[in-house]
Amino acid sequence: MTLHVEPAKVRSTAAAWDTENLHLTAAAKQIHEVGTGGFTPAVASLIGQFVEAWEAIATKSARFSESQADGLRSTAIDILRTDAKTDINASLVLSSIKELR
Amino acid sequence: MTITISLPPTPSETPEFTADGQKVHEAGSTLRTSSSIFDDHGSFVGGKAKDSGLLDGRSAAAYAQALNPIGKHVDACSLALRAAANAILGHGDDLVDLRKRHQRLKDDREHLARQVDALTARANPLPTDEAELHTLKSDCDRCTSQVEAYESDLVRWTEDLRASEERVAAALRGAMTEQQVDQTYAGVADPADAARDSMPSGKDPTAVKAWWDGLTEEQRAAMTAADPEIVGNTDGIPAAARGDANTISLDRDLAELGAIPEDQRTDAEQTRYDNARAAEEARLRISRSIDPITGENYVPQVYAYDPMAFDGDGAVAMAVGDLDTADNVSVNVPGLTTDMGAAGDNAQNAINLQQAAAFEGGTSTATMFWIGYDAPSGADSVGVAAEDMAAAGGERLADTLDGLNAMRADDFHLTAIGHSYGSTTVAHAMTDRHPGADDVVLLGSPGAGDDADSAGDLGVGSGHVFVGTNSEDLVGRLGQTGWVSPAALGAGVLTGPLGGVVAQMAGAGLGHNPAEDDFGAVRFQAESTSRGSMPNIDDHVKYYDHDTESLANMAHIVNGQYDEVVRAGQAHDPWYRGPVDPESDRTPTSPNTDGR
Repeated sequence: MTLHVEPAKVRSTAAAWDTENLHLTAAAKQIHEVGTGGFTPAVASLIGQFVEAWEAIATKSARFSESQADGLRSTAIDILRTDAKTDINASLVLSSIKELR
Repeated sequence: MTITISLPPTPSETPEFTADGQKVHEAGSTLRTSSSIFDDHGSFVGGKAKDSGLLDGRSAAAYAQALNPIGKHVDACSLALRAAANAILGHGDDLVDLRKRHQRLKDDREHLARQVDALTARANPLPTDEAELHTLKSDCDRCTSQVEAYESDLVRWTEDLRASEERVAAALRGAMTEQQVDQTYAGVADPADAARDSMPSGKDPTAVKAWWDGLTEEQRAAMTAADPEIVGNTDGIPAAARGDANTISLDRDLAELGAIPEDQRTDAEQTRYDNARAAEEARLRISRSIDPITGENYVPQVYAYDPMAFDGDGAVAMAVGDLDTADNVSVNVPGLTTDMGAAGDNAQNAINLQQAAAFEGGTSTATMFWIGYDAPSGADSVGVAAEDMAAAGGERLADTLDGLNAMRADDFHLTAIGHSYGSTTVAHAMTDRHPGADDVVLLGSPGAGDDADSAGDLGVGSGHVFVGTNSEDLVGRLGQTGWVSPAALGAGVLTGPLGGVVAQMAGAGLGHNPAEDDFGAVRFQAESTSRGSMPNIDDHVKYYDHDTESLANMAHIVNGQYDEVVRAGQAHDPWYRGPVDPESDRTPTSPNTDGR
């Protein structure tokens, strides 16, 4: 029997998605901290709206990344659980698929 | 004869203008860094993310299918945010210019209003003398045309402000929603791609400069945001662009790695974060320091930033002043124990030299510290015993000096300064490659390297090789006898005063002592008022301190004020006794180097 998952690859790709989540969360924070000070009144209100919109876009992308990481892990676990019924190796690697950050 | 006198009109009020272009620029810079994070995210989604590790056909296909539109959307987000950021940066530049023009308008208006009041007073009552009337008429006519010129300048200023506001507003309005972003940017090629593809394959900085000059403004901006590691660290690219790119890389490292909880960082991430924080400390030290003549804060220019270079020791170079335009440029190369963690202290040295150069009359100076080679540090310290690291560092330094020369079309004055092991590195760069520096300064040198028999070998003329050695500097004594002794290394070079003395006796230097008469360089005074009474390491680290002979003399050299450099007697090594240094008997002085 062969496994339907490469556990090491799932782990590293899911961890990379977790890292993307952190990076995009950092981007959202950076964008949030952009102030309207220094701009003329004619532009300041637009900047405020722009910052709000892009903080939301970055946050949404961060959440998507997190969901990809979680989804990848949970899909891999589901597949390994099925494989485990016929392959002892699947049982052994199941516990290695977990969130690290 | 009738003389008609028309009093000049009162000039219109200059409108209030509180905008701050520098702050706007910072906002644009932050958003450009964020766009760079989206750019990397796009690369991840289009690359590594595809390798899911799922082998089950249905799950793998579903995962892959979900990624395609996401990748395209993220790339579009990156382009949209970058475009908005660039529009804001441009707006910031406009505002800086408009601020200057506004100040001129205000000054003009004030001056003209006073003139109008004075002319009104002169006309009430009208003078009776015909000559005086003619003079008054002429003054009124001249003032009227000045007021008219002011009014048209004011109209032009107002129109330019409005045009700049409209440009940035259009860019912002066009990227407010994800739908707009996808409509405008989905599937659009990144201008950085074509620019990157046309980049010269070799390291020739002249070819790099020609390539950079041939790019469009849009391509240069795209490369800066999409490939900051390349733009920030390629010799031949102008310093301003490198500074922009490295600011993105540094800010991104601080933001991204700072967002990861400390206990979850990998070793590599922690190293990168530590080095980024060290670079940030250097950047802050520079931006918080003040030019003693203008009273203005310095603006740091991050010329190189590679926090994972040399197995994590890191590489960083940062300038106080503008490397693209300064008449006098110095590159300061540190030595022993230098890795990126020492960036803050090296920034302070560069600040001190910049301040001293300004105080001594230098009006256009850029002083850069350069941690761009693998200097002996930590476990590498044993490397000080050999010249390999200095020779390799010399190659990298020569590349940097060539790059500075290639990026500048004008004839500027370039000084390469090396301290400690860095002086050996500078000497190797000059001797082995002859890059285009005008002056060389070797400070506290353990030796000018085995390839240099005399100052003339450094390729700038012996009168342009300057040496600063404190007579009690332990490291400065290492090169006295000019050869490397394994016995001295065994004695533990630089592990303490005793080891140093043994090393000196055994001749543990890295080539000729450049402060010795045989070498033929120009030795300048570099004693310290707190000089020790025997060879010690404290006197090795005072050369950049304010109010020292060495800093004052270095400032003169950097400024090209050769006649102001105070010469010192050279050390000599008679056959019948040990080396003799005439400076050890002189009472050190403490010249003011910053006006305080």
